[in-house]
Amino acid sequence: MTVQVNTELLGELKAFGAFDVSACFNCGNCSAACPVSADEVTFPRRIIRYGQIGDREHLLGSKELWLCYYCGECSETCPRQAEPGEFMASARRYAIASLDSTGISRLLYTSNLFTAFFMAGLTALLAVILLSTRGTMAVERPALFGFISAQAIHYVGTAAILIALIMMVVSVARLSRLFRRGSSSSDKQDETGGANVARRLTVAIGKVVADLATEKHHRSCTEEAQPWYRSRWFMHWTIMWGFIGLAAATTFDYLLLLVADKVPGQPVPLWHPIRLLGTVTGMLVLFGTLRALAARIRKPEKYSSHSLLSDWLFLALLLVATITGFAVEFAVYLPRGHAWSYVAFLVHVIVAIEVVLLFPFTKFAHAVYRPMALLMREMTRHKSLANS
Amino acid sequence: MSKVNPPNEKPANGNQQPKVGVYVCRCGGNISDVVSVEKVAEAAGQMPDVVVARQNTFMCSHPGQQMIVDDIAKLGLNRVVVAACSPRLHELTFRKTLVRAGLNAYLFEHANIREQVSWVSKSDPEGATAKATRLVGAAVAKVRLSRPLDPIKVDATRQVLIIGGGVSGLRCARDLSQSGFRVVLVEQSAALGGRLTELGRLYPVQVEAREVLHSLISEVSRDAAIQVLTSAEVTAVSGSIGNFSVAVRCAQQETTIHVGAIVLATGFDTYEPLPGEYGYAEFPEVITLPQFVRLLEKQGPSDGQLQRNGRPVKNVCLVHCVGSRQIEGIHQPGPDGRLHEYCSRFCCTAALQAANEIRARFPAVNVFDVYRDIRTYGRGHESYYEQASKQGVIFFRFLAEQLPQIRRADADGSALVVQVKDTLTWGEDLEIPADLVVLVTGAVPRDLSRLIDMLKLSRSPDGFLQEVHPKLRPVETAVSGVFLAGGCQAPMDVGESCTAASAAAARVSAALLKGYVELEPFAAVADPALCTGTGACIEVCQHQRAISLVDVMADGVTLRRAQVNPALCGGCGMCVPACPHGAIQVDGWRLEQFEAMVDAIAADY
Repeated sequence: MTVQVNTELLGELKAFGAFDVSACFNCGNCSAACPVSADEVTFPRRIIRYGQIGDREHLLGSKELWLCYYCGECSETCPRQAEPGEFMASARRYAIASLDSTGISRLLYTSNLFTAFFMAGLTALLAVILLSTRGTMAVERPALFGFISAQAIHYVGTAAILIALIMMVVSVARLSRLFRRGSSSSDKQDETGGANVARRLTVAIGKVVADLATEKHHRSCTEEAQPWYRSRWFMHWTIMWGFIGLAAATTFDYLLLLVADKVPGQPVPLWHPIRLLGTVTGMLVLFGTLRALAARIRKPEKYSSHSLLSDWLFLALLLVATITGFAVEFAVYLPRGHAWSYVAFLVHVIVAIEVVLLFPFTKFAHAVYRPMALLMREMTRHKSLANS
Repeated sequence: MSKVNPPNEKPANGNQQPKVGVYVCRCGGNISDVVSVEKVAEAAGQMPDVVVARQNTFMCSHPGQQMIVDDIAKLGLNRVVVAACSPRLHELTFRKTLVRAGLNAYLFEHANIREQVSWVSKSDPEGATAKATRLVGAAVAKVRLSRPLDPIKVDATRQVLIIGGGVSGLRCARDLSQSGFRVVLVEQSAALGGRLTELGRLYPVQVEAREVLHSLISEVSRDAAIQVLTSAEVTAVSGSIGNFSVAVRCAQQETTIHVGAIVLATGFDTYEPLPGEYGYAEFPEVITLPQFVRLLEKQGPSDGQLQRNGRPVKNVCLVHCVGSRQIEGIHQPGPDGRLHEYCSRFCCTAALQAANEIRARFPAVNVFDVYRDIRTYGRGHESYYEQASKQGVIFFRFLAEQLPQIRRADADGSALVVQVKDTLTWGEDLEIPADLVVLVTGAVPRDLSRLIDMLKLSRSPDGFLQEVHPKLRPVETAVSGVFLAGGCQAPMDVGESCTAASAAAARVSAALLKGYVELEPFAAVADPALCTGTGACIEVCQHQRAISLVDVMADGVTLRRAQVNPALCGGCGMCVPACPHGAIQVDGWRLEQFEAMVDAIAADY
């Protein structure tokens, strides 16, 4: 496949981060220093080269983009201060923006003014929709669903999930097409029977799940000097598993509504398994987001030295959703209904819906793209082994 | 002209009974690992007139030499043979040892038993020992018949001819004039300056070439000791170091000038790509780096746009190593039938300088640099690469087996497309848009066949003029009195050319500053008692006017007799067998010495 050299891509990428890969002379120190880069998937040099020559298709089709955890090792060893780690982060932002066909993601990344207006507008819109049904703050006892009807939450939430899902399906389809086109020609030659593919896929999925569960590659990026609970790996692990846990708790709670005779808003005992899951995973998210925000504020490390508003947004929403969530949990046990608890409930619902809605448009999308890349890697690794 | 000094009083012992000392060198195992030096020394001790025969680990070392000096003092030696390495290395060393001990330098003989024996006969130690013994025997036989000789001293003309008025010639002329020499500078074109007139800014100092040239030319033209002849060429050369006669044609007039030394500063040509090579002469958008430099010169610094033939240029693509580092089977030989296998050295930095200038003056223009290797070897050169990369020049690297291809662009946009199999992108086929392709051409040797014939110079396999020794004698040619300065010897940039020119000037000074030159005394001598004036020797003589017939008064009768000018004689010996009366002999290599050597080699040991 012939590639047209194009100088515009680098300029576009620069809108997504602070790096100077024109200083790169292709030495490959970054790839050698990278604890995640392996023989069959060498980066960041490869991705930087795609950026230099303007090979958009290979850049977006590189699964390597999503394997990087930005530990900053490459940027520290770069002899030309080209910031390869920041380049990788920028390329990921660029990829998220490029996979989103609405253009919202690009604007969120590149324009703070747009982000402010967009979020304010979205919040106002959701508030109006949610409050349009009931809107009464009962004082004699906490009646949260008298303030916002359970149905309104259900329908708006379902709509948000559907929108995010549709957007994500479109993006995933684009990405898988790019992955297939981006993989090298030797990978493509191997076209074996369906049964074989299915078996390989099963093995690959197993490996990816195991990888994601422990994030062992991320652990290899973590510097030895710190205790595990202060490491970046643990920070990320808590946010990821905390979020998954919360999502699971919400889903189970909804399923319980369908199968059992449970009334929305009815308090369940603290020791109830779903309740317990929500509390524990909520604590995990709270810990993780606070650590992440603190790191970005203090900027002690390479990976957090250049944050865009869009990066802040996701963490901030997650934090607000968790705090208001705990506040609401607390409020339902109070004998009386307080105004603050209704406000907290409103904020919690709005922010939770925003987190879902923004999924395809912010760095949150990596939660889907990264497992896809891992799966792709497992599949092609299998093929190249079979070929050899 | 030259004056021949009468032979001085010979140092002592010239005509006494020969007392020969033989010294066999082990050369730290180089010789003794193969040759039994003890046996050679033992055999040498039995040879006629040999008083002492010894061996030593390193004869050239101070203790080794001191052994000879002591033996000369104690044993009254008057002839010395050293059997060791090649005489090229240490013959002079041991001649000086003899002089220190009060003997004439030419009563020494050197037998080469390393290069000619031990190094080439490793598998046959016995045969090697026997051969070494014979060679020592021949040296002893020759040295027994040696006579004391003195170097020939010839007055040297303190005027120097420099051929070529480029930066090397100009620099050399100024250096020589500052050392007190008169200089004749011959330039074949109408103006001084050479290649420098075609250059823009010079790396690594960013000065304008014309400023450098202006200051040099004005220095030279103000200098009364330098005579500049433009539109002039050398038509004939005769003579030797100290006394060359050079015919120069200038403005339809032929004049003869006398000089003590000749400096060649004839420079190089820039490579002209073959028609069709990288689309050259096929697409008007493909030009060479020198052409591009002139294009940049013509554009005012305030022009917002880089233009070529009135059309804006948005993408420039530089292709390195055009006409340099050529490989048989991949590249086509040029019109001279030569492949240019060498690296032209200056072109990488020159190309990067041009790239930087484009990026600085026309920031909207993309610069693509397609190289085989970047060789910014000189001090300060690497910063050009660094700057280029920081300024957003995009680099690509090709292998010689996969040369870039240039074709017209299919669609609108750029004029041309450069196709590269880029090793920096894992051999991916890339298409680079280009409105202008700049072929980074290097240096090629000039056609100097007439000068080479006239001066009997040798060329390196690459076609450039060859020095005697690339490290130890880098600006001297095998013809003594003829020196090299700058690009005629190898591709050089301006700084290197000036360094070479100053080095050549220093070597000329070393050769001529004493006012005379000393030549080896191995010149032919005609014996007037035997000569009958047949002139047969003159007919076969290889050196112009070395032998002439002169009138000699003997017993009141004027006779025509052969006489040799030792300053012009090359000592080749062609005249010796030509003489029907055996009247002419070469000093230091007389016939009876050859006969004795042959006998010694054939003798039993």
